[in-house]
Amino acid sequence: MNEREEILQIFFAETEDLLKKSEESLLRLETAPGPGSDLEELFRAIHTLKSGSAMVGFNALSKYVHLIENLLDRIRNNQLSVTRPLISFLLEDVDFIRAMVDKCAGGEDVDPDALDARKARLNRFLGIEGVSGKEEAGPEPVPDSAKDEGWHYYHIDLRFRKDLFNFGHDPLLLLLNLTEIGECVEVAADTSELPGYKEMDFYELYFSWRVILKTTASIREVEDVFMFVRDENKIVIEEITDRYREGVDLQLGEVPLGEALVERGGISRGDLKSALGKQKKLGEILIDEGKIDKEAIQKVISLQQESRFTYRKTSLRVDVEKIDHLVNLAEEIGINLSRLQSLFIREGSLSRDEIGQEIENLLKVNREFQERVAGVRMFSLKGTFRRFQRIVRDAAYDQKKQIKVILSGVDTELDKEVIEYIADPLKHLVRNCVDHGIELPEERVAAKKPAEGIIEFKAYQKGGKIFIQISDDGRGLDIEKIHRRALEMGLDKAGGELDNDTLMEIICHPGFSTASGVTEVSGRGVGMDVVKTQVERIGGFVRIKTKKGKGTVVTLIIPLTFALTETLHVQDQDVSYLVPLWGIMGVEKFEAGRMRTFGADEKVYRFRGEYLPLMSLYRVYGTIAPENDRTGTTVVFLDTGRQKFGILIDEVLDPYQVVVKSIESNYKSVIGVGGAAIMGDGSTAIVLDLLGLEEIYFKHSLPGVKYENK
Amino acid sequence: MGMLQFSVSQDAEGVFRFKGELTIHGIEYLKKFLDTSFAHAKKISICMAGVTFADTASLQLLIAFRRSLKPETEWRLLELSPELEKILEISDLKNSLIR
Repeated sequence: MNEREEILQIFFAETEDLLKKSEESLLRLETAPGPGSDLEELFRAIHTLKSGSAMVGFNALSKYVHLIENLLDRIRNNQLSVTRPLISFLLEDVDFIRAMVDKCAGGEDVDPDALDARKARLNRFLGIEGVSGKEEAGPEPVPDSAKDEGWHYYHIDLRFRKDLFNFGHDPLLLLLNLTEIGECVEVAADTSELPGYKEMDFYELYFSWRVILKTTASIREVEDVFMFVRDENKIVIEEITDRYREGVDLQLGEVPLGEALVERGGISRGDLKSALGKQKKLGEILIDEGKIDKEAIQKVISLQQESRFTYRKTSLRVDVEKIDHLVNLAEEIGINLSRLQSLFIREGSLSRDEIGQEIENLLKVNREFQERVAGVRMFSLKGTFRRFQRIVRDAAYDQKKQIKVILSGVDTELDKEVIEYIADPLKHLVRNCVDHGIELPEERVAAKKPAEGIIEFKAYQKGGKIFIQISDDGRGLDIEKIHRRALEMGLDKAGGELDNDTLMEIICHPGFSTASGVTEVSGRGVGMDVVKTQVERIGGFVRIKTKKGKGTVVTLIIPLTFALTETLHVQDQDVSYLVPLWGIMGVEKFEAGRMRTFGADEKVYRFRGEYLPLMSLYRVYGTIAPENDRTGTTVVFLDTGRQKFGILIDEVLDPYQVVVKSIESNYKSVIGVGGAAIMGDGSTAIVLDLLGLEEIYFKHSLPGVKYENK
Repeated sequence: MGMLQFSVSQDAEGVFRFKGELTIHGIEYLKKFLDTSFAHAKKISICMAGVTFADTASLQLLIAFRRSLKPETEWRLLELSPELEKILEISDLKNSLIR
């Protein structure tokens, strides 16, 4: 990698961090608007981004970010208030900048039209100071002749519901009323939604309007004209006095033609989009000219995408604190090794205990070193959760729902790779909560609930697992309908009452989740099979709890890390096994009197007052022939979270922290085996996959169910 | 339709004369009139001098009807009353209806 590439890589990593920070600050700013620490943090992030992009020569990006900085400065100086549309716009900006950076990363130029359109929208918030070309001038005092004369200009956007006529209202009368308080200096009707003469329902309204009103009236007086229609319709009134001079909208010159045509009502946004869609891309032009064929272009595009993806994936930003710890530990290992060396030099004068003690110290430091190295891959869930907060916010806004997001346990850390695996399933669950879980405010009020729904993201660690919970206080799943459908589809032959596990199995059934009828009634289920599969791929599982009218809780239970696993080394019939510590409840000497046998050869064993199924590892794994069976001497009691059971083994050795090596990548996936590890003496041991083990054993135990090893 | 405040007559040159208020209450009447009188007409001339008011619903219907005409059909709205002029101006619908 040359110097330029190195600098760029640092820039890309830093930018992503800054954008994430900006997004978080914006979401906080929305709940607590106005100058304060969130605004300052946002300002700093944007400022750093501006300088950074200028430094690497991405000038278009830097200039654009400078405009945002100006806008933030206006908020800081109380010249602009924080409104929901402004936050939405700035959040979109974060996405826009991300896309710009992506383009720069791929060596592409920023699309000037897209940039212009964006700038135009930004200028709307900025007013005259932001008009491009004057960016470097900074805020200059605006000659406020309009204000001096007492005239105000308002931009009024009128979009009515289709059934407006049924309520006895007519937009024409509202427009006429406007003329009583001022002069409509511009009126643009949008008639593009009017259907064909034969198709139209003449009792419905299809037109909308945009008006610029010149008046001495206050915004409140203008709002009063729409008093009776405001709540039910989309009426947006914005004062634009600052950008309106001598009957001319100064902004219009800055807007691309397409935007201006939409603004002035000549065409609809749909028309513009469709026309822009007809513009040819570079690749298409080259194909038309016969310079290159489609496949060749496609190949280069995929190479580009792969390159961008790898570029991002390979870098890892680590806290300085974590690195400091590693450096300290490396020094400590060095010191201990020197001490050991000097002890050996003074040979004869050292006792066996002394050597033992030194080695013990070294091993302890080494263990911590390994843990810390693994910790470098650990990241808090903060970023992931904040992203969901944004998804909820945007989706709720679109669907006119009121949703409060509660986050807890955001500092819980997870392996980077695990986070990447679960991001999509989680996103899916979040969407489900918003789309289907939380009801519309009026439905909630009718159900005697607060109009504002709650979605909670919660993470915590228990044992060696991380629990991630997404809950909502919405309508819950319609168990009866799901049950009925499951019976129809033959998924639930028993027909008894649905417990949570069976429910989970049903809604995660691929055929089930795509059946639209069921999706509508259950309000959930789309893609739940994907969620389940993805989580299981990393050794986790999903649980669901739901109550009609009260809400749903989905919990993802996933391993903390791929890198290091705490285990107990045990032996059975001369084979070494490593049992993950997270699942172990206890270890006891085997006492025949506590065991009961029933049926063919089913065994249960009493542990802490309850009888638990007891299994022999050699039987499950088929490691030896039954005739060579020896009865184990020790029982290890396990709890997977779904099932408690005991395993009978010969001997318990030591606790062991291991790097689990995948068997799948060298051989094939074996159910019940989590991987293998190389022990201190060079031998190998099998790492038990407790959930897989449970699945094998208990599915075997079910009459009539044949287990197939995948 | 006893409440109807709108009527149509035809003069010797074949020009239809609208009179009164074009509102949603008479919209079915207006639609029926358009459907029956101009189904296959090559030339449509309507005098609007007597129209004192037109609401959004009626204007929508007239504009949709106009858009449904074949390109060769001639469409002429004559002598707008001052009231109608004001309405079409304030609603920016003049172009859609006349030109």
